[in-house]
Amino acid sequence: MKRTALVLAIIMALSLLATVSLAAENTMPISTDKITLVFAIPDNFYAANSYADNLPVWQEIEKKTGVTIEWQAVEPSQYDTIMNIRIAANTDMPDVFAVPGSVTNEDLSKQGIALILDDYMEYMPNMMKMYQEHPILEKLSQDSEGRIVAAYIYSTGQYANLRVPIIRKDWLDKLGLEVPSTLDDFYNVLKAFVERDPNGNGMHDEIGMMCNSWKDYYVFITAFGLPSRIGEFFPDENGNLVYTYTREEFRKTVEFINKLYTERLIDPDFVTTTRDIVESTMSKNIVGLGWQAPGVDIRWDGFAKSGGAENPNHIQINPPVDVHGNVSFFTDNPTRRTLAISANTKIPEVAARWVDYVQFSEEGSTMVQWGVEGISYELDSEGKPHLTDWALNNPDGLDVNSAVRSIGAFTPTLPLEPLEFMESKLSGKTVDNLKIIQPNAQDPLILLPLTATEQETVSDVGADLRTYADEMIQKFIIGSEPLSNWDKYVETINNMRLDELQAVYQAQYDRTFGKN
Amino acid sequence: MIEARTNQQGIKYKLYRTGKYLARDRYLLLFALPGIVYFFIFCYVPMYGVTIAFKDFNASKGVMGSEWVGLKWFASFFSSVYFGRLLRNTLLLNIYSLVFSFPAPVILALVINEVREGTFKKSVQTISYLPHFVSVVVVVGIMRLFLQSDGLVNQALESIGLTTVNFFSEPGWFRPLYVISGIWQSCGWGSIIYLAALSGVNPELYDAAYVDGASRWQRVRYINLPSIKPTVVTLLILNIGRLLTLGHEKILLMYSPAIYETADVISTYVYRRGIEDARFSFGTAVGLFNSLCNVALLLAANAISRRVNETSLW
Repeated sequence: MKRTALVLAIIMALSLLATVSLAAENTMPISTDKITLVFAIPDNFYAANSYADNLPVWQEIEKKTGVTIEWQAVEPSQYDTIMNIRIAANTDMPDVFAVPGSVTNEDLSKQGIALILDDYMEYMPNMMKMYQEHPILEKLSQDSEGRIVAAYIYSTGQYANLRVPIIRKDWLDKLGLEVPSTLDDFYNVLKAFVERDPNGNGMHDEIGMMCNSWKDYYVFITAFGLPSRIGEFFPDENGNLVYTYTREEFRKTVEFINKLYTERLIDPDFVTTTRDIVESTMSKNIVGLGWQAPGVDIRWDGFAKSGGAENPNHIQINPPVDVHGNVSFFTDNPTRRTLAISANTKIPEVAARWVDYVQFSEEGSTMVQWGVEGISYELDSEGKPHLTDWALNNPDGLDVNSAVRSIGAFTPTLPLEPLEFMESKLSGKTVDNLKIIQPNAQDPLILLPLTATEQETVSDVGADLRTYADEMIQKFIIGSEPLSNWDKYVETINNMRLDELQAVYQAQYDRTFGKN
Repeated sequence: MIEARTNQQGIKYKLYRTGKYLARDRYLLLFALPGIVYFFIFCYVPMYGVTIAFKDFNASKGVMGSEWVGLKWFASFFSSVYFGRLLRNTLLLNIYSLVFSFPAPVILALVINEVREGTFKKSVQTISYLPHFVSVVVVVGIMRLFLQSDGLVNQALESIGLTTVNFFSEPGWFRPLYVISGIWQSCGWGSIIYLAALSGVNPELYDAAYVDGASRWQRVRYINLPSIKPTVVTLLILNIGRLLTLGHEKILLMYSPAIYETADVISTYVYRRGIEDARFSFGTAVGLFNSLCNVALLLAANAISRRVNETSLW
């Protein structure tokens, strides 16, 4: 009995070596023997179908790779907590797992939790290719000594998930107005919405502009030369980080929003408005301008219709241009840390090849993002995937994302949908409008994560600073603090250890762009 | 010599006596055992986790492995520009709640008690309990609906000719709104315990008072109030022991940066600081500070109560 086991083990080891040595291009199947890989990720966002139920997408993947998956899928909201505990113990770890946000790359390597992937790069050609296309990914995956410890992924969907103003085109047409371009245009349009009763019910119940969150109104900063969604700090021409909320451009933005507020052109309860409130107000057919991502325009059409609008037509438009006629805004962060391999795994090459296939290869990542060919997507003549009718108009009434998730695709480890997926989801007019605004989209600043000491300073200094800034800005907008006190506000901020905060972010910026 | 012997004997005797009591009451102890075990495992044992208030807790290193930093978090919290304001807001909000919403259930109970038994009394009681079961999210939602710029209250104000009020953006309105909605929600439920105490009053006392010519108000003042005094005092002491704790859910739903000056309390500040990066240690340190203050207040209230009345918690 013992001898048979030994012989079997030797044969298995030899065959594994054989398949592994042919892996120069990571061809499938990874192995023709029965290998099981333990995989831990947050469970399906579509809660009705857990990954442990062996969903169609993963059955396909198992078939293609020849590797059986042993699932350790945890309820998404508890994944981080549970995984943190397991990482602290570092025994009996899964072979491949999603890394919780609070665990740094440093932790992964220093505490011997993750496999150092540098030694296995020959088994991960697809990942190497993506890293070559987007060099920032390699930097993000490294610990302080430059060793790659986790896989980072880049999603092209950032160029479809653009957050810009969304306006009621049908109201503009009714009032004979052009799509607003300059700041004055926006002001005049809002004034017209509020005064000239575009919803035609005889009452002046229209709300000019309503946003999900009060900081969304900052979009008007584009009129003064800075891109929208610029964040708390941004680099000037010399690579020095500047604090946004004491800048002159920002002061003008706040002045403008204050003007809108005093003249009742924006939602008077904006301090406490949330997304649900916006949507329910949309259902009353009284809102003219909002700020959101594509796809929401169609949703808002639906809401407005239920409020009595005949042919509501929300479209995405560019934010206001500055004096030179330019406008720009940042997209979402397209990078995301996905998976790491356990340092103690018994099947490192298999795991490396598996991760490479599932996340980075054309075939594997298409399945993970789009679903099963023939069910949720089809390839057209150029080999490009498109969502099928089953996904777009799901017979069970599920929305697109849920339909795709119900068969196991679009896992929680993916940040954004790929560009084609998003465009496939969006209907005609949204895609057309997207073409008008896409040219003004910019890649956001992607920075290496903060070190532990930096993180401490940020939370130490940042909490008080942000409390003060948020409080004062809201008061300026409402008018309970006169704008003439702006200089006093700037001075107070500068005395609240802003320089320490700036130094931390500057160090982070320099570290990312290799300036030390 | 004799004292020494009786002393020794005294200790042995005491032990013997305790053993006898334990044996005699063994079934009662068995009854209590699950509860004791529960509290021990889930409340006392996890207390060691409080140590992360003095450490730099890192999830991957665990509680024992995290680095010791002493009083760093406390220093960081106390040196915050807003520490004074946070403390003031937390205390004031709780004191207002105590002053205004503590008497409300008592008064309600006294009043309900005077009503004759019947369907009216029962339905009033049931209706008054209902708000307790409504989630705080719904309560705030209802408040929003009534108080928003074009809500019922503002429309009414306009029709009378007064200017509208932006209830949620004015710092002065936060405390009244918070306390009043709290009273509405908890008044009915809180009156239950007082009604229970009142139902234990000997009816002969009422008869005697009636015979002596006491008016209804005098009856309430000299019979009802004294009979619920122990309950009232106990609950008051317990409430004082929670003076520094303020659940943040309702405030989070109601506040915004514009009204931080009255609405920002210790727990909401820590919540904001915690979202930055899961700063468990900081949150624990502040929580420990809260608990210590509460314990001090509780002990003080209890001591005062023992001097002034005979009632006290221990």
